[in-house]
Amino acid sequence: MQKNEIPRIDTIAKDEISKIRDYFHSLNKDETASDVFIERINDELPARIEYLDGVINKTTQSLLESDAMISIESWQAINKNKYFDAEIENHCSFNVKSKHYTPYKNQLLRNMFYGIVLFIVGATFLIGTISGIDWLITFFLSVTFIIISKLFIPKLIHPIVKEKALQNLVDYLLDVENNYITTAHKLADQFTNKFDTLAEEVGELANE
Amino acid sequence: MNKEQLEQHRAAALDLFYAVKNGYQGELSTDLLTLYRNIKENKFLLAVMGEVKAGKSTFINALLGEELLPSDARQSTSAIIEVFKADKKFIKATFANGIVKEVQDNLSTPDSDDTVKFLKKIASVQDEHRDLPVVQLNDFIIEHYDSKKNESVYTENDLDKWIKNSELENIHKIETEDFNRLIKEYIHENKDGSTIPTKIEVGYPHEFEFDQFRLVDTPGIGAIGGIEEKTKRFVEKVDATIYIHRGAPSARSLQHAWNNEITKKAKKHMFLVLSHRGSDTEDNNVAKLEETIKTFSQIRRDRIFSVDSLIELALNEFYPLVDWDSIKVFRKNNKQIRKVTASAWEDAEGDVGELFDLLEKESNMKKLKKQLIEFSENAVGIQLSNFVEEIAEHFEVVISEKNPKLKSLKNKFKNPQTFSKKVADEKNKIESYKANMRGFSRKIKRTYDVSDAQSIMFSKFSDIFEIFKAELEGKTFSASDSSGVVDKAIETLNSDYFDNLEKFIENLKTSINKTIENFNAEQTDLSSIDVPQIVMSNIWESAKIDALEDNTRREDSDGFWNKIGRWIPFTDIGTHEVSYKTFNITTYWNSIKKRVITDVDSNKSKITESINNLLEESINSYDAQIIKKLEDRKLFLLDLADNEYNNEKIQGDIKSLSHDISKLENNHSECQKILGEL
Repeated sequence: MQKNEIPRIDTIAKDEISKIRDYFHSLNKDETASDVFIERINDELPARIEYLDGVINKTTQSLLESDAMISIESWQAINKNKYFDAEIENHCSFNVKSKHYTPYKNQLLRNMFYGIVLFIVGATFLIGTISGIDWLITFFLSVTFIIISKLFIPKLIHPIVKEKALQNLVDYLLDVENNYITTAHKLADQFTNKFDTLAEEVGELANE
Repeated sequence: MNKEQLEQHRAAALDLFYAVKNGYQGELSTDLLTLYRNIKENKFLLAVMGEVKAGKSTFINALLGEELLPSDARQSTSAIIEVFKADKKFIKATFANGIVKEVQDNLSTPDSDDTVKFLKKIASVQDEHRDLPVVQLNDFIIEHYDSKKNESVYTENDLDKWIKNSELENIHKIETEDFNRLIKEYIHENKDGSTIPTKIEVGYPHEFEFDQFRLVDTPGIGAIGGIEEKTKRFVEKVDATIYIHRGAPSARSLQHAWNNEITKKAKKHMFLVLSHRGSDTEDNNVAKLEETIKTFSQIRRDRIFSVDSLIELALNEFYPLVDWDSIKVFRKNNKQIRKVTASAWEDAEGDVGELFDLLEKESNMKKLKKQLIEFSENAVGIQLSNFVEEIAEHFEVVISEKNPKLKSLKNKFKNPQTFSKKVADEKNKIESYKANMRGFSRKIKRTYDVSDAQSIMFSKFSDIFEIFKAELEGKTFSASDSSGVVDKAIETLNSDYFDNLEKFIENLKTSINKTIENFNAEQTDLSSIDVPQIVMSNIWESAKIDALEDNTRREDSDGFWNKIGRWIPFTDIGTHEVSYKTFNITTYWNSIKKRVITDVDSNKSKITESINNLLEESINSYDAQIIKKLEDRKLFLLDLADNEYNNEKIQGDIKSLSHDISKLENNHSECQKILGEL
């Protein structure tokens, strides 16, 4: 069986994954809080992937059938019916399923930032004590640093968190895309082998 | 032709008869069947027929040269008397009760003729019954005879009815009451059948050539020309007839017998004898003969005679007497002979030779006898010819019936190759149709499946959801906007989304139906799809809860010390904390958006499933229509196969029929060959 249509599955999978990626990119607005952004990814992505699994399944089957229909075009009618009777698609494992999405955890980055702040405060105290700086100055510096950190860390951390979450999503989608392409090609091989066996049995191998 | 050759032809003719009997569809003709029976039984039946009192028995006696049969003026028996060739006289009588009696001539007592006595006894009417139509009465007894009860079974009512309905001949015009009483008495007395012969066979050493030649004395035809059913059945069997007629040829009885009683076969070999020649003048006899010849032109000229059986019988008595005186003495003692020979006696004037010449001329039996002897010599050949002619005619009928059948079959027959090709073409058409149909079903699926990325509907369907989501994302509200403004906006978007989905589904249905219609199938009323609604009231309620943010503020506490305490700087003394909620429009909108999108994603899967079910339904409906059309084509194929089978059958029939016809034609040729030799 000539694989004329099935290679299109690569593009289709990429396009569909790209649509999802673009959609979530579009949600990543400046004013959107990282928590909200992450929550939306976590809420919406599984449903979209599950739907896309079905789409890829159907599309792979459909493209393979298109190829089969082109191949049997010159067959004798009786053999065409033998192809339909064989229901090859039911004997192939059309069950594309993506792995679960692991949500991005922004708490780690946040804790890391606060850890750094505490480390700096602690270091300031230690350096102040060793160098004999007045503890009042050291205390003042530390409080000032904590206040500044409290005011600026969230602003600093949000885009990073969103970027990280987005990267996590992109990585996941890339995995999903690769899985789609690999599985689709495996299915294509399975289908093609069965089709060729049938064609040989009915004596139409030469007419494909 | 010698006996051996005739026997060979007889055997061949019988084989041909069996062949025609097997091949003949209808009933074989009576003539053929009777000929077959006679030939099988080695009988040639020459029936002597004629009206009552015409002189049949006398004629037979004259022919045999002896007063063998009772020639009483009265009709005596309904039995048919068959005279066959035997070494000596022999009588075999079968009675109505089944008893058979046999009497042979005792050669040791030449003066006492037992056979003649026995025949007279059983075939003559007793004096006490001379006034009765005995033949008809005997027929009644025979007709009602029950062999199990050994007597005739009837009720008085049956008898009365029969007497009333039958035209019983009351010869002596007796009073009806007495006549009926006498009839009843006769029937009651004779009902055991022991005195009523049904068949009498007489063996006699006659001078006719062939052993199978039989002279038959039949009961007389009634004055009005009628003939008893039993006699009629017998007449059908006869091979040739001698019809004895007394009187003018125009007599009603003769005409009736000719038209109704004498069979075609018997007419073919018929002798017409005008009797009692001596009781009329020579001129009248000549005139009668001429008229008869003219009237019955189908009868061969040399088979119409005018004779006098009584004169012939007298002659037979005179021959052994030799001299005039002996004849004179014999005549003196025999009143009837004296009467019939009176004229010749006077004219001969004592010359015996002259007397014999005159009597022979008056009896005119010599020529007839000669003819009959010649006829008897050829009788078996004639009978066989008749038989084979009948067989040939039957073969012709069978051939003429079969030829149109053969022609019709040949017209119906078609070249088997044409049939095979038609069947193969039709099978191929069915397969192609089926394959196209199945290919088309799958094409519909590939075209309209909304979960197939290469289908034309996939993007259109996905776009509805993506656009809706994009519109949701694009909506922004300022903090001053009320929840009502948000609710109205989302309601509009939701309504547009719902309308778009409904329109999409309607368009999808129309497109599917149009595609199916373009492929020669009828549109179907596809099920409707319930597009799941997003229930905004629930979402609003939940979003409102989400949008309410907890806040606190400090308020002055009542009381004197609290007023004093509030003067103390950097403390909250004199105040207390109060909680309150604020409505955040952004949070409200985000909550609505989040919930709507979750619902939309969930609905997309549900609608996809519903659309796929709809697609499946339309394909099934299409398949059902096509399967029905396929069934019709299969029926046509079955018809074609039937026709092919019938055609093969016709071919077989033609072969078989041609073979039959050829066989029949051979048989027919064989008949012609035999006829030529005969």
